[in-house]
This record gives sequence, C-alpha cells and structure tokens, in this order.
Amino acid sequence: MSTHLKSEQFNDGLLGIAGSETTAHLDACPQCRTEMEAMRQALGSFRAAAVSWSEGAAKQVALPNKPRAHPLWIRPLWVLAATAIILAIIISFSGWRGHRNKTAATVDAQAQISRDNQLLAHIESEVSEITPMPMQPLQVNPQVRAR
Amino acid sequence: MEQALSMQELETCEDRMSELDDIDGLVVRYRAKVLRLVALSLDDPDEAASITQDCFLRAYLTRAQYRGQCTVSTWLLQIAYNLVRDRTRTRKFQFWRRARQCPIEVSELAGQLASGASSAESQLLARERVEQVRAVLAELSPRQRSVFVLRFVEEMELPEIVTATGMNLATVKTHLYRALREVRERMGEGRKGAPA
Repeated sequence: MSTHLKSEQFNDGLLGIAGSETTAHLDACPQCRTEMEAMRQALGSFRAAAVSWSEGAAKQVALPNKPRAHPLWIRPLWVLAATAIILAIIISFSGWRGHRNKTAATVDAQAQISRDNQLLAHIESEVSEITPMPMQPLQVNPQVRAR
Repeated sequence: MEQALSMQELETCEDRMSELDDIDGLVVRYRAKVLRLVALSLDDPDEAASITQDCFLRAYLTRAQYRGQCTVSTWLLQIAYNLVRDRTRTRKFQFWRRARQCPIEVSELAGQLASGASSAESQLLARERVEQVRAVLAELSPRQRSVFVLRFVEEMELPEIVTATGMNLATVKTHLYRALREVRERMGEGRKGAPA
C-alpha cells in the first residue's frame, strides 16, 4: 500500500459519508483502519463522558416557571375584564357622588318647605285675627272696657 | 398508498405538536440534550443552565410556530443553537468570557466515564482521549463547537445539522473537518509523546 487516505477521505470516513474508494482502502490498509478505529474510540469516549456529565448536571437545572395554562387568545379577555372593573369603579364612584348631591338637594328642599310652612302659618295666623289689622288701632282695650 | 403515507405523516406531526404542549415532560426528556449542546458550545456550565431554561420557555411560547417539519429534538436544538449564537454576539458575554472563565472541568468530564468491565489501562487511555478531544474543542469557536457536538455527541446526520444551525452543508463540513483534523493531530502528538 503506497499511499494512505487523504485527510478529507479520512474525515469523510469518520462522518459516515465515505465513498467506495475510501471504504475499500480501509478494508485493505491496517494502518489507516487502526487510526480510524482510534479516532472513533476517542470520539465515542468523549460522547459517553459528555452524556454522562449532562445527565447529572441537568438535574441541577431548575424547571422554568410554567407559563400560564391559558391560550394566548385569552389574554385580551383579561384586558377587557380589567377595563370593565375600572369602569365599574368609576361609574359607582360617580353614582355615589350623584347620590351625595341628591341628598344635599333633598335637604335644601326640606328647608325650603319648612320656611314655606312657617310663612304660611304666619299668614294663617294673621288672617285668622278677629280684628283686621287696619282696624286694630280702634280696638278697645279689654281692660279699659272692663273698667 | 400516497394518501395513507400523508395521513401517517399528519399523525406524526400531531403527536410532535402535542408533545410541545407538555412543558414539564419536554424538560424532563430533553434538558440533558439541550444542556450538553449549550454547555459544550459556551464552555460555561452556569451560563448554560440559564440558556437551557430560556430554550424550553421559548419553545413553549413559540410552539404555535412549530409545523412538524423536523423532530422536536431537532427543533429544540435549533432554538438552543440560536440562543447560544445570540449570547456569544453580545458584548457583555465577550467581556465576561475574558474576565471570568469557568469551563467544564476536564477531570469532571473524563471522570464520567463508566469503569464497567474495562481494565485500568484502557480506562486511562479513554480518559486521555476525552481530554484530547476536550482540549481541541476548547480551541474552536462556539459555532464550530456546536457543529461538532451536534455531530459527534448528538450523532445527528449532516442534513439535520443544516436544519438545526441554518448553515449550508459546505460550511458544516468545513467546521467538522477542521475539528477532526485538530483531534487527529493532537492524538498523533499524544502517540509520539507516549512511552514506547
């Protein structure tokens, strides 16, 4: 065997994409076959070590926080719900303010009625006098009449 | 026949998509695989743990984009590779890489080899080989490391690596050839230096 595998042929052999010429050479050349076998063993040992290392190290990796179970399309509903709650708060607050204003108006009306009642009572008392107001100066004092 | 095959493909696709809905199961099944790629690509286990978490979270949140065009495993590795690539591009990463290197210890990696029934001599030889490959990997760029890990640790076929990395086939081969040449040279040096 005068020549051995070229670097590219050797690498193709390791990558599993060797042509028929390379395969035939490996069958016939003990030196290349031995070297190929040594390389395969080295890569196999590295793989075994890496797999074994990662199996242990992976246990240290914490599970990521599970994202929300709801599908993505539900998210806008949350926004709508939040908006609805905010609107409800605003409406109820404005309602309370309206109620407060209404209460104040009711109090004012009652005072007005009270004043009106007082006025009416005053008029009533004046109207119900026996002697009309213009005649009152002529009215005889009851004490004088008794005398 | 063609229709039956399409139905089968459809079922496979549906199975894959439903697999993505179960994030806990996904993490348990694939976290070691994702961690391997990220840790060996970045050579930083702490950073790798964080990126592995990000990978699963992103996979879950973007699962609607998965069309079953490749296996779930390849899809996850694609996300992981992109995260590694994005991370290594940042200036912050470059700074921390220079300032604080905490690579996977060679002894830690080589110590993982199961003793099994092999002799002490063959165990030593296996450890030495692991160290040689590990040393070569340390000299490669993160991108080259990723390609190497996908081929020789995850044992992915070249077209799958093309899918996962988005590189063309020629680029993938170039990265692998370079890595293999380095490993071969280092092993040759090891043999020269070994006592007769």
